[in-house]
Amino acid sequence: MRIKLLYKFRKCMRKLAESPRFFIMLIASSIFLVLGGAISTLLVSNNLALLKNRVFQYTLEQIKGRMENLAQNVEGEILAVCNTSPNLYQCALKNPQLVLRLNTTFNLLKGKEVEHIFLLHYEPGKEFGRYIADGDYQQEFLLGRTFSYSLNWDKWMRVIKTGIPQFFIQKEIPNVYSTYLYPIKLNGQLSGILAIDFSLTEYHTLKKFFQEFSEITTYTVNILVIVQILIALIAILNFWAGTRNLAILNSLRITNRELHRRVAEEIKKVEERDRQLMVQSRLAMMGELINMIAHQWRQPLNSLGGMVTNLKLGQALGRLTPEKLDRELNRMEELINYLSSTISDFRNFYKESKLKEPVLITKIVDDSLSIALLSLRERGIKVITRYECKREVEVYVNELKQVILNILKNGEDILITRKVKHPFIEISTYQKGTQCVIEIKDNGGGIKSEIIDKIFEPYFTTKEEKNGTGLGLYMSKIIVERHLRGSLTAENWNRGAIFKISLNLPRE
Amino acid sequence: MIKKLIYISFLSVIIHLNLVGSDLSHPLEGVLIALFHTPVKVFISDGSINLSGKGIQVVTNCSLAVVEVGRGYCKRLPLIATDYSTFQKNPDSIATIYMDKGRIQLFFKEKGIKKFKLLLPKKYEGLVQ
Repeated sequence: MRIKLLYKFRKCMRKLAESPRFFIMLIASSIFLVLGGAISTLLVSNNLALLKNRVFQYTLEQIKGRMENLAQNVEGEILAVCNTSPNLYQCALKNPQLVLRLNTTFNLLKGKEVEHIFLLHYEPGKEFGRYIADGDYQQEFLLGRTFSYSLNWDKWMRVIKTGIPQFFIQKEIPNVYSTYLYPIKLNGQLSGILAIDFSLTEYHTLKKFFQEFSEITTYTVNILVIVQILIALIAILNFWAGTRNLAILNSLRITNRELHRRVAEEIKKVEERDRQLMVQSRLAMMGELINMIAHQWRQPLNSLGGMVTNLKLGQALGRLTPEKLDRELNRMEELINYLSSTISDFRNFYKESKLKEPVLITKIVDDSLSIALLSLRERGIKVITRYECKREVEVYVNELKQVILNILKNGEDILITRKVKHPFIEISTYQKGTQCVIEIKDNGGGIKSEIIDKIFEPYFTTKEEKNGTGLGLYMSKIIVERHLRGSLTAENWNRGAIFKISLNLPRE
Repeated sequence: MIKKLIYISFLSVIIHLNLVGSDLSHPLEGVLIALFHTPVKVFISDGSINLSGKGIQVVTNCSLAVVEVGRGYCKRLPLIATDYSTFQKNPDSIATIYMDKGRIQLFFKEKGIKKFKLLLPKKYEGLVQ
């Protein structure tokens, strides 16, 4: 099921990839992705900026809340001691321990977040208050020292008039970001104001932290978006290339199939041509064989004729004795048997071998020689045999005989044509490695170096005047190399040519 | 053009730094002009104070001055103290001006004002101790 779906999907994609619309679609989707990425980056950046501000505000609120708590704790401590006092300053004068405690507490609180923290006694009608505690060291602190409200006058007044805490940003005090003013009431009356200055250093640290956080996050998000866009683009391109490749692969497959078909056709044609050449070659060889048989028959036929004449003459003269008749008839029978055997050889030669069969190399050579030997001897060519490889090989017997006969016939022709003195053909067999080599050597002067590379080509002949077809050696090479899986080579020695048929020996 | 801009920027930075360095100068000059007749001859006994405004004449001798600004070096001369302690202790002090918790502190002493028969403007009445 999954494979079917996948196949359908791939088919669909292949069609898409082949259409020009797909490219337009690819460009459009790329632009869409880039624009989408840019917009999303912008949105993310904006959201991050908002988030940063909110988190920053939240942090400030947290600080404000902590200040409120702190102020309430201070108020609680004061109330615990001064609930019966008429005012804060009087209470402080009466309770130095309270002042010491408050100073110590304020001193501990001053530092990273808090730049200044001080508690003032409120004096009605005055534009200043008096210090109750300010977190300074004991020797520097002076209880009742005045503090002017002149800076941020309105904020101080708002606390004094409304009794509501005030939180505001400072712009004129060095190293202070904001101030928190908290009213301290005794017996329901405003008696003091607790002032806390929030450190600008801490504000800057926080701001820097959030700035860096925002920058890093924006940077990371940008990188992620860019990476996402790149991955998407690569994926699209890869997919596009993949589908394109698929289409190319498909067309290649079709081309390949077509090529296979054509190659098969061509092979078939070549095989057909070879078959026809083989027929031609055999026909040519048949002529040679008939000539050889004619040579072989001439002498026995002459003998038979002589015997018949002798018998007739003996009968006419009355000298034909039964013994003589019987002897002559026996000789005639022998001759007729010989003639019959040459016919069988001829017929066997034209029988097509269907199967390879194991045969002694020497037997094949001898059978081939028996056909050609008489013709060679009649022409004064000495035949020398030397058999060293006496093993069986698996061959198509008649095809190998045809090759040997063809080479022998070529040797004979060249020896006669060149009128070589003391002509000979030497046939030897020997083993070389895993092969048995049949070597046919003559003393006919050899093959010219300019044509030695061409002698195995079809229709190449040096015997035009003698009706050479130029197929003999070509077919011999085809037979040895293609049918018998061996090799046929030609080379020269100082007096003639050597043809070597190398055949693989069966594994022992 | 660019050179001019750089020069102007540099100059404005210098001016700004000078102003920052003399935070107390401006209110102090206001107080001096409000309490004394101009040109006010001032003897400065606090090195951190720098006065250069209109109607102010800085003198180097107590005898030439009508008011001292600083730590109470001169005798029987109205003193505007630059620290709270001197203001409290010196009988000639009429006012004090200093920085505390990043804020300018300005107070007047009723006794001193009366002693030297000075007329305190109404806007400073709330700052009298």
